[in-house]
Amino acid sequence: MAGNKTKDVLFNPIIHNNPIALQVLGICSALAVTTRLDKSLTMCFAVIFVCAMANASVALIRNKIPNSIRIIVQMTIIASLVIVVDQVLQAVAYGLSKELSVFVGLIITNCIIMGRAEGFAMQNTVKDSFIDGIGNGLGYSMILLVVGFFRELFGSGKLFGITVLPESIYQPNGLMLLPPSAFFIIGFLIWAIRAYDRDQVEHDDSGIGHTHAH
Amino acid sequence: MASNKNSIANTLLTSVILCLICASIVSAAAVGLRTMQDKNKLKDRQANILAAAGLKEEGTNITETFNARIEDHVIDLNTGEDVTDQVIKEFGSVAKYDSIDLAESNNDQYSDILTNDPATIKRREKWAHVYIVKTSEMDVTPLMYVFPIRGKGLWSILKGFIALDAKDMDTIVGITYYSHQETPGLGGEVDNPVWKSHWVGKKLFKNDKFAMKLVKTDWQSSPYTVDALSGATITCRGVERMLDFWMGEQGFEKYIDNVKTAEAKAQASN
Repeated sequence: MAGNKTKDVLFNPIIHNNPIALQVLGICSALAVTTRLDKSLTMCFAVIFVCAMANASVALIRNKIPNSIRIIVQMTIIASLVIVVDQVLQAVAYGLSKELSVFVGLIITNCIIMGRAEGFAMQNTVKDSFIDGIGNGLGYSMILLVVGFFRELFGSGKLFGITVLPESIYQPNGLMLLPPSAFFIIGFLIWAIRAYDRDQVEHDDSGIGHTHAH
Repeated sequence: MASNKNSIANTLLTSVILCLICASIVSAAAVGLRTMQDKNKLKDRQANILAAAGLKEEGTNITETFNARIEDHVIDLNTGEDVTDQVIKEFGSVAKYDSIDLAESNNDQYSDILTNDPATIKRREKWAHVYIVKTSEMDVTPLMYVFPIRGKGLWSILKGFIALDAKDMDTIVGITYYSHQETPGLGGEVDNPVWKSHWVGKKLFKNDKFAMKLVKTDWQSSPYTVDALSGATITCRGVERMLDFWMGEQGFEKYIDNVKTAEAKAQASN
């Protein structure tokens, strides 16, 4: 039983409850850092680390946090972790950290992390929360890497900076390097995921397209 | 238990303890990684000097090329004299003299408060670095001069380098910015290689007067105009003003004049 729950907590956010595709959270950075796979990958590691550690720390002190300041406590923990990640990146991968610029710092405001801390870690054990953080980080990473793959491949004919489609065969499409292309790819991904997992399709209650009279 | 957790005393205690723990983690990371970050910054600065001079290609060994091709000098901005020897005496080495840091930390001995401050940098160092690019380690004839420039854009001080051809001290070889916090996609496009390539071959001075302008249309028709970045009016104004400042009498003008006079003398004696 326990094993099953851990597995669910870890793998559910990847397809069945993906933070970007189903909950449509964290879109901002998904548009900004996916022009190249190496940038996407660095961002993924940063988010997985922050999400898992923030969840674990919040869960660890969840019974001690006064209700009135719980959001601020979560924010402080997340912000500290993000600064640590930013400092480490500046020390070991200076070029990448310069290119990611503000977006590493903006992990602080990534709704996925705040959402998991408030929505999951406040009610669950340290172990489950840690795994939930990794799971949600992976769900975010899955989308980022797929988007990054298509944008780098079709936008500059490269993967991880290595040319795979030379310009003699393929003329790079500049649109793929601009933020709107990420919207298209994420849209297609959501379509694909919902075609596979019909439960995610929302019931149409907008009234558009319905002509029957009441 | 529950009411105790939410009491004012407990709220204050929790926040103080949390702040202390978080602060120590953050400071430990910042202090512990400082040396590595500084090394990266130095290398990045060298890489940018090479890039401004057009010497950076893929696979270039930055430290090696920098040491072989570039001479780091320090000059007095007020007189235009070379003060490299004095800097070595006072700071141990030229690389240890961080002029921008001294100006930004309000050091009165090495920087002055500006009254006429078009670049909005508040303080200007008395001595500034000049990087002289040579053909090789053996041949010391200067090919170009790389000058550090900085000035306010929209959100931040932009810091960079501009390389001028040694032949006329006027034609631009390249420009780069290594540090800024302008809006990505708008002012942040000062990093765009295509935009930077527009500067190559342009000229700064028309009849010895600063004439470089960033314009909206038809930048190709004149040697004194460069395409302005769309959506980044204030960043572009900053770029224009900082060039005017650093190439003017409060900047490197006297040094440039000295170099030109020395050149003319050398030619006359030949």
